Amino acid sequence: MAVGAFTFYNKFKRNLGQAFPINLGSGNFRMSLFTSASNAATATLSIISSVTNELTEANGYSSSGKALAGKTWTAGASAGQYRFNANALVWTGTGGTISNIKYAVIWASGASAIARKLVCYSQLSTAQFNLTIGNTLTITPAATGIFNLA
Amino acid sequence: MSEKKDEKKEEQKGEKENSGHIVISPPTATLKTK
Repeated sequence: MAVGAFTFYNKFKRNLGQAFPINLGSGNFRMSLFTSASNAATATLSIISSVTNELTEANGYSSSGKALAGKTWTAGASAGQYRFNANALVWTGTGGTISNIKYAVIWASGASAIARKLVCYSQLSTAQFNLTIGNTLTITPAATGIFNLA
Repeated sequence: MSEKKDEKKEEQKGEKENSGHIVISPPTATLKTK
């Protein structure tokens, strides 16, 4: 169950300075989960609606994902670094199994599809896995944050 | 001896099915500016 590091989408870097910019400080962000059939690891994607094969909405998984609560954008390991971080996210298998989990994608919330820009993704496991009823999947950012601008 | 083998089999089965609580902590990404 090898876990991949959070990996930026190429266009995240561009979108920091484009129209509908990504506001790391006061913007809202969400995390969604995708199956092994997804294109989530394609670096050239730009918006969340371009990512295919999200998990089926059922058994405790909502198709809009979960909000990143407790998000912070503050100085990191040194004053010259900035760190993006948030609380752990927890999904619970409710009434059945949440099936075929492989990728977690972080994206910026927005009023329109074009504003919902991708930030980064992680391959949570080599192969997709299931979260059985009554159990929890906790995705915890590392002690050094989700990502740093260094 | 056989009991130990059985326990090991159960562990492997559990991992394969990924039942139980799961905690994952993806390593941090870094965007370098210099």
